[in-house]
Amino acid sequence: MITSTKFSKNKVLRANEYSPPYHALRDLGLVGAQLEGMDFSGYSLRGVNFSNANLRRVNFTEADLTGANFTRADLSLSVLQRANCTDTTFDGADLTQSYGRGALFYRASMTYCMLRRVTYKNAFFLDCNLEGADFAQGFFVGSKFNGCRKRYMKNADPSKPGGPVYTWYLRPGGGPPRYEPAPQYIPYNVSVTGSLSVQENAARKKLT
Amino acid sequence: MEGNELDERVAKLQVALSEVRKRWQALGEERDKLGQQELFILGQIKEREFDKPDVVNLPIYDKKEDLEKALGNRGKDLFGRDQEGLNESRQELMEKEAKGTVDYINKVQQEQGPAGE
Repeated sequence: MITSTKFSKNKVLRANEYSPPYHALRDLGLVGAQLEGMDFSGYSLRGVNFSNANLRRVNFTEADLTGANFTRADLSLSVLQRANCTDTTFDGADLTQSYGRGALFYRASMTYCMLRRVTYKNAFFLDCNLEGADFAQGFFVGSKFNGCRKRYMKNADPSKPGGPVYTWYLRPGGGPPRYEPAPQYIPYNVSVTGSLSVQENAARKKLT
Repeated sequence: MEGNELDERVAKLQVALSEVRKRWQALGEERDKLGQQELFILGQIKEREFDKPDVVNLPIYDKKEDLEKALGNRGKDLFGRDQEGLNESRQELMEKEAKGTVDYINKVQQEQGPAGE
């Protein structure tokens, strides 16, 4: 078992630096571990217990998190792009400002999970338990929520101040998008780049 | 009033008192039962209030085919390109844009002469 004392605070382990093969991280107990800034991209982390762990800025891109436990873990600023979160537990976890384009949450338990100011474009929330989850100012364009439990959800209504964004409204002639319906604006319920990450909008490279 | 009469009246009053006490006790038991029923009903009402259907309307896939298609296209954009293909097409687009910019500058320079003259 890896304990919190094994990693120094600011040590960032890359996949190729980690000596055992990646599948050795299955079913580990990392309760309360200090893993800030780690790179777990592409790892198989099936059944790993991250309860109460510090996972700020951790990269879980394309990681397999099936059956993992993130109860009350701090996942703020983490990256869950295209991660597989089947049967994963995020009860009371803090996912503030995380990035999860194309992430798959299937049968995940996300009760009282904080999803404030997140960017989850084209993510899948299928048969999840979202009771009491907080969606304040989240960005969910293209994300769908089939079969989810939604009681006591906070800030999930896009029409209210501080609510999330599910649809972009674009003007055919160009210009910035709106977050609320307007005449002549076309609703966009999906992000064109799917689950791929590209430099968008202001971050696009300028030609020299 | 003689002593015997007094005793009789006291005995009658004691019997009446015991009757009243019995009735009072019975009423108390009934009240407790009713109170428990009231609490039970109130609890049920509260539970029903919690079970009210939520008013949050989150977007969903209307058709199963749409969901399956979207899941199948995970890792691709809406035009079926993967990350590499997307980067290539973006590179092409950027080169096209750059060429267009150069062409435009050349055209302007041909019309107006090089800058600074």
